Amino acid sequence: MKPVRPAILIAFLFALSCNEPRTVVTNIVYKDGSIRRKIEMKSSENKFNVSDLQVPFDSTWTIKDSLEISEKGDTTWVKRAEKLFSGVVEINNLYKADSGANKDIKRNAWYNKKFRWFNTEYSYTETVDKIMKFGYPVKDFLDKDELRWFYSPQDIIDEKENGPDSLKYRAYGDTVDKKIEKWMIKSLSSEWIHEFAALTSGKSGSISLDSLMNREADLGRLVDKSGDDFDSLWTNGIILRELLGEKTAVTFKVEADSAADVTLSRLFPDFKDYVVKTIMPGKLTSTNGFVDSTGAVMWPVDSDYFITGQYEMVSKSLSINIWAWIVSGLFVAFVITGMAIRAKRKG
Amino acid sequence: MDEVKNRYEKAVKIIRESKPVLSNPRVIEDAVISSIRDKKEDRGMITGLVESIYGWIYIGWVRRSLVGAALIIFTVFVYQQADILRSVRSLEKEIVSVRSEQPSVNVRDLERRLTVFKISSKISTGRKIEVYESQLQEIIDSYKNLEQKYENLNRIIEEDSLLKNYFKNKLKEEENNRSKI
Repeated sequence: MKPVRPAILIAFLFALSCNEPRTVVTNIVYKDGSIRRKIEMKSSENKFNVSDLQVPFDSTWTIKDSLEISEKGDTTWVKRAEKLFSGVVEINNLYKADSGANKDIKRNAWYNKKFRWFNTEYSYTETVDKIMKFGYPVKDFLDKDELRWFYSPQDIIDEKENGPDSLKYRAYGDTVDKKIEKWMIKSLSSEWIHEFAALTSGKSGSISLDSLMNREADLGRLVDKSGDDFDSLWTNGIILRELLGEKTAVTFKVEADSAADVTLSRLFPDFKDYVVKTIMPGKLTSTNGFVDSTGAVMWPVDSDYFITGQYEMVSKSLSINIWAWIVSGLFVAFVITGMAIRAKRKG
Repeated sequence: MDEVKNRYEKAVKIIRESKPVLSNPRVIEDAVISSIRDKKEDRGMITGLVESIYGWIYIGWVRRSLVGAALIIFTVFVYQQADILRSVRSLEKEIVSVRSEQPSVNVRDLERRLTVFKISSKISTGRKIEVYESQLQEIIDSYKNLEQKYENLNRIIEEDSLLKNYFKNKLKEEENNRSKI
């Protein structure tokens, strides 16, 4: 068995635990399209380096620092930043200029207002662009309920898996996890094949993309079968030899490793999770997020959600146009009166 | 008595027989006629106004158009409100309570396996103390397990006020002991 350096362990454990600062972004959307954006960052240390921040802000924001001490005596440093934006264009410019932890991920905000006579509809969406170029959409692998489970905040899943019917939910969670793993392996295989084909294209002895795509299922099976030994099986070229044959595996080892590196960087991007909350004007009518009792909508932003497809955080609301109700009511009453007069005169 | 009665009757007779003298009876006559005519004109104006506002009821295509427009407005209103009601009701069913508002770590098995590969290819070869991959997997599993147990324990303590107080007191005691030292 291949020995692994302990630095890997340290780095991995660091990657597991280092989700600081814990960040919640709240967008308060107004009817005129302006947006008040509030960012709350909590950390166990008073260190809020720009390179560690999930969401960008600058000196033009109103910034407040505070300190919270829990009953246990744990200290939490809190940084709150707030700014009123005249529209989504300003937010998008801010995303473009981001130099924080998630700078490589393309994010956008969209606002739309539609006049519907009796009501005016508002829609606010934040999107995160997909990372993989050739992965498969997760909706091809999960049904509606499973997708809901997949996009659920971890604490909702934990609550279900530890509450009443825990056995049922744990079994369900396992089923979803297996399907997610299948989706990841298939996407990983497809991405690697395309990258490998691009790197070897035109070189003597290379295999065509079509031919490689025919072996996509085989690659998936090999990754799945390799289990915990994937690292050593890949490094020793065993997986490659099985997939491409002895000669090709040796000839294109460098390209295969480069393609694997690119693919894994896309499958597990350097991304720090955070939470987006949106408060819409008027009455909330639809969303794909999680609504709390105050009417605010919440989405966890996790890298798994936008590996193979754009992650959309959509919320829609409406406000009633009172004047349109009055005008319409008067018009209908006018027509009814006219018809009553006619009936009376006829009768 | 008879004399008084006769005088009274004479006076009444004189009053009855004496007619009022109208200085310009023609003016009064005109005023009365004009007043009657105005009343008729007022009634005629209201009727005219109603006729002009509701004149469309006698024009077939206008009548049909206005009734059609009123029906369309009514239908749109009913449809929109039903649609909104349906959306709001379905949203209300999905209201959840999110406790922490913070993402917590959820590492999938594939992610764990491939992260080892990803990181191992990036770390430069410097001074190294080697551990076996199986040992590394064991440590990671233990870490995940410990994290899960910690979360569960924390939840149990949070939900039980007696337990919470017990731990609070214990922590205080420990803190006091430490400061004494």
